[in-house]
Amino acid sequence: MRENGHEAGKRQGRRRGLTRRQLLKAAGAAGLMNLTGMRAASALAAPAVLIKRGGTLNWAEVNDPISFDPHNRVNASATVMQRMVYQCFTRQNPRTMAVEPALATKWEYTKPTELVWTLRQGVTFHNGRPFTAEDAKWNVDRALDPRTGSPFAVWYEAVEKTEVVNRNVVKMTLKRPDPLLPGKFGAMRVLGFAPGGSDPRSLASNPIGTGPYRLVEWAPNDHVTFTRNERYWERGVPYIDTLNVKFITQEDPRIAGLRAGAIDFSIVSADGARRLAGSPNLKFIKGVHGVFTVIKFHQRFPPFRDRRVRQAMNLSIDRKEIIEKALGGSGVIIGPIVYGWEDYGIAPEQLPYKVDVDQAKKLMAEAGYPGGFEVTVVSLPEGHPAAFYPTVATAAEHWKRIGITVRIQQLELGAWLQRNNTLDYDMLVGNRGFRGDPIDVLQPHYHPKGSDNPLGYSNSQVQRWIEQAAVEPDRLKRRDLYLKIQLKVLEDVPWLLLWAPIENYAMQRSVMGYDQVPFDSFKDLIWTTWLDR
Amino acid sequence: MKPTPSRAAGLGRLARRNLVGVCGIAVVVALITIAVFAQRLSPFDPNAQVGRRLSPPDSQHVLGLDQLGRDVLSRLIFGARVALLVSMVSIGLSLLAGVGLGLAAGYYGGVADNLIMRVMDLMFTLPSFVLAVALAGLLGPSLTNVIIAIALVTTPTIARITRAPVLAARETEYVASARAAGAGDARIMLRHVLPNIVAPIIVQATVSVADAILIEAGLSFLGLGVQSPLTSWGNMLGTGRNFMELANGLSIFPGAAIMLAVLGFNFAGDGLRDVLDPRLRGV
Amino acid sequence: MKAFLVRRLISTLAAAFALSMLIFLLIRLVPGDAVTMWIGQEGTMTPEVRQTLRKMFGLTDPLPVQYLHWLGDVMRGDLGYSFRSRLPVSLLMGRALPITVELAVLAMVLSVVVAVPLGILSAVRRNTPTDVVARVLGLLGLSVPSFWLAVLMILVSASYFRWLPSLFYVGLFKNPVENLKQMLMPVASLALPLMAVVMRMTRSTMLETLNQDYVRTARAKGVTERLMLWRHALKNALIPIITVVGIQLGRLLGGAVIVEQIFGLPGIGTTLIASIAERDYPMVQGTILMMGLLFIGVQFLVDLCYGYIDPRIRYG
Repeated sequence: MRENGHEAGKRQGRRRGLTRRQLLKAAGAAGLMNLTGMRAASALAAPAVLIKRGGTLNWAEVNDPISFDPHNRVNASATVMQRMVYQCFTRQNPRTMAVEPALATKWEYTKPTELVWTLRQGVTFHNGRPFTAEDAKWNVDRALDPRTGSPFAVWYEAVEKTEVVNRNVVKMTLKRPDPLLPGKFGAMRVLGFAPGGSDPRSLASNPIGTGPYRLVEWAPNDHVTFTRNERYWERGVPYIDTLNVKFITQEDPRIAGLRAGAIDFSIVSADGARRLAGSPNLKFIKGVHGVFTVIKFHQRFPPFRDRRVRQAMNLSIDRKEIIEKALGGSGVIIGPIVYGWEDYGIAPEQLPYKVDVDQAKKLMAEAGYPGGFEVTVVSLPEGHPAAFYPTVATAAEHWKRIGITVRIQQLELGAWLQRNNTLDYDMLVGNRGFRGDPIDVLQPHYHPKGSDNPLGYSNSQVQRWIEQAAVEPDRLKRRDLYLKIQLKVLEDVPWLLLWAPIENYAMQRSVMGYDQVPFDSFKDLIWTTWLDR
Repeated sequence: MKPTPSRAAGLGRLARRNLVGVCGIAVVVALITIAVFAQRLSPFDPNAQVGRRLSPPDSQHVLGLDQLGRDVLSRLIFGARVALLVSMVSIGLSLLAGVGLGLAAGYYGGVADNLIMRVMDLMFTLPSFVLAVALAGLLGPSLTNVIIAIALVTTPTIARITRAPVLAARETEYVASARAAGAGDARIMLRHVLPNIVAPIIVQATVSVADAILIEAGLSFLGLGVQSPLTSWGNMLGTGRNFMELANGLSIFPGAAIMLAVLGFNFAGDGLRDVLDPRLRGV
Repeated sequence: MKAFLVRRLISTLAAAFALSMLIFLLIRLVPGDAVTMWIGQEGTMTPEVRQTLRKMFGLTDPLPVQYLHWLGDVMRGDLGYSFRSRLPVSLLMGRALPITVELAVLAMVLSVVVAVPLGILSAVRRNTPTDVVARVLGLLGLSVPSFWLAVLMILVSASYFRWLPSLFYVGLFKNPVENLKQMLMPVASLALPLMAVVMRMTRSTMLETLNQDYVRTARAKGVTERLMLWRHALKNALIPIITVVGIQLGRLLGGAVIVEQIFGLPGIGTTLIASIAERDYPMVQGTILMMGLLFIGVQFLVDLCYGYIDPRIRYG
């Protein structure tokens, strides 16, 4: 069955595979849990009587977005900020991660290699210009143009050409079938739509999009101010008039600001949340974030080529203690797919991890390393927020018990990236980001031709499953394949899967409607957040 | 020579001054002892995770545990090692280079002087800490790079301090007559010039060691300095300050250690200055 | 004097450029270039993308050519574009520089205003308990790391007073009160160590001056203590004070780099550290050049002041 897109309401009715928990969350979207349990058609519902419109939200982000060029998202902050002003064909529901219509109301595969988009009517850009198929084509073409130099364009590399059929219809011809394409547009890492023919340099600091907010002022590395888009096509939202985003890299000022009421909303670390715990004016939410941390093995280091060694290393670490030391306890144990990502992941309680040092010692002896060995692991420096150092330092203490001595080589970001991207290490601690579809966290690592497979892991079954899933249009069938892959990979331990962080958000009590931490770093829930002041 | 004040006041002043110097030297000696005998004195391995993270001080862990459960007191003790090692080695290196260059510039004069001093001026165009940040940031954080960076930024000052008295000495009669007698340059420098410059150099060296400790601490605070498994007070302070209110000691103790060490060397420098050359007093 | 100063100026400018060349070379020899940073780990390094980006950043030209391009641009006042944000370097620095300058100036002013009178007092009441206390405090102040002071201030104010100034940086001219509230703690943490140095310097110079013959003569003549103090002694004390200010400026700027980080002030220090980490070559070069020029500029002004105050130096 082909995947089709429909108007929001019908889509929700045909929701498949969502847990009850997710259903309830979606229903609570517009803060109407108490009134009508089933009210919400989508996360972006029509306003209810209780909601107050207007006001200014002072929001602290960690990093500056660097650029508002819609075809070149430089960092995570850019993605978050740009989503306020730009949109794309589809978007991901902030609560369920399901793919939803945005600037396209319908999409259909007339053939496996032909994707036809029907665009939404009556949409205008922030400058008043109407959005048409010509604009859509211009944006896609520019994003995929090698001369633009977007490192993420490879996501859409299946697209061969884009044609305007009429004012509201765009046809994409693909080089090969790619049923996951609509989801990839929704993740919006590469592209947002700006008026066709715009000067990219100008867009970088003066974005013009179709989103719920428009940019009013941007002082790089200091703050950015957004104000509500009066012409926004989606009725009723957003509720807040002005977003004042302040960039504060250090946690102390953010904490002080929250306490003093100068900041209304911010991410905080687990320790930060603890420090603020007594404040009467604040409330907190937390949730799993889809970026997970791993320790990678390279085949150039002979002991790692033996599965028993890897399994031994896997059996001798105490993941709970690692999470305690590295994250102050604010993390979850993960399998190959982080649990909470729709219904793809395996629940932490069901993961086959255990701590068994005796078994580990036996395996090491069997593999021919009864006395252990010495190895160097590449990591980021100790103070870095990614918490790589405490992770591997704690694991190193555990590995002492089976005779493995680990030397931690700390490299700052530039050097670390070099080593990571060129696969130049014996062992490395790193992480893996969130993607539009799980295939993107499976294929690169578990497929023999994957781009990030330093071990050279190759299993014919897993390979076949991956290749099948890449062209399987039925989501449920994909999910089953993913499960099979996960179970096999957990046995073979091509790398050590460790944890995903639990993100904590702190906000003033007057901030209503932001009740869930998004899996990716998007803050789209801001659009349905309102201020009770 | 200046007219001296009344004897009693003079002696009193000297005593008080020397008290400062004596205190300083006592602190320096204590630090060196701690650094040398760190292994024996430290209750735990500074990198061992011995308990629950962020534990407050108790009978077993007198200063508490840090964010990875490591004993703070042990880390402070080993931190002394790094602070002294880095500062002394780097200043030692810059003494070698700086005195050599200063001697050459002052003694030979002319082109050599010009060239050398221009290169030194190059280093003076930036504040030394900023230059150290740039160097350490670009070379990458490590013990060696910190030592190199500090040595590089301190050499010009030492060169300058050496050069002036050398220039002065060159014009004296001793040197003129020694030259006339046919003595080689090296001999002249060693016998007639060097003794003159020893005093200011020693004083400057002490002050520079204090500065070096501060620079190393600053670099490590920013994450550009010494890395684990080596323990640095600056590092401890830099990572520890994220846990304010949860474990205030992590923000207080390392900073106090830095201050104590810098103080010790500054006091000692002050005392030395007074003893070695009263003319330098008060700078 | 003019000739002397012009020569000094030229030679130091040349030094600043030579320094920038050194940094230029160094930053390019370091692992992980701007393209790697741009791509990060999430992107993909296909050879075409890499090449495109390298061309965009001008990294495909030979090194001397790159340097000459940059130099030529600088002469025209164009410091290039930041790799990260594609915004002009001069624009980004124009925003950051005033903050650092304000920080340094305020710290300097505060420390002189407090330390000079203290130094004079200490000199006049030499060897009394006041003097001893002042001198010990002086040595203590000299040794305290400004970044530790900053951390302690935050600790105390956050824990006990539950107060921290506003976080949205406002310019001095937009809202002086807010701005000064924000600057209070950073300035204090920088000023305290500086105060120690200035106080010691003032004290020792005053001591010397007070012992000079002409002062004794004036005393003997019966000129009132205070008048003599303010007129003769202070004027002569000015030179060393200005010297110390000039020298300590370096320390101040260095300290500002860390203090800015701690308080999240978007000044030149924060910019420098961030652009080194990101291998943003144009920004690193531009920032270092600016800092060098700023530093030299102040030294030059200091020399001018000398020339004005002490005619003996003018012709030295």
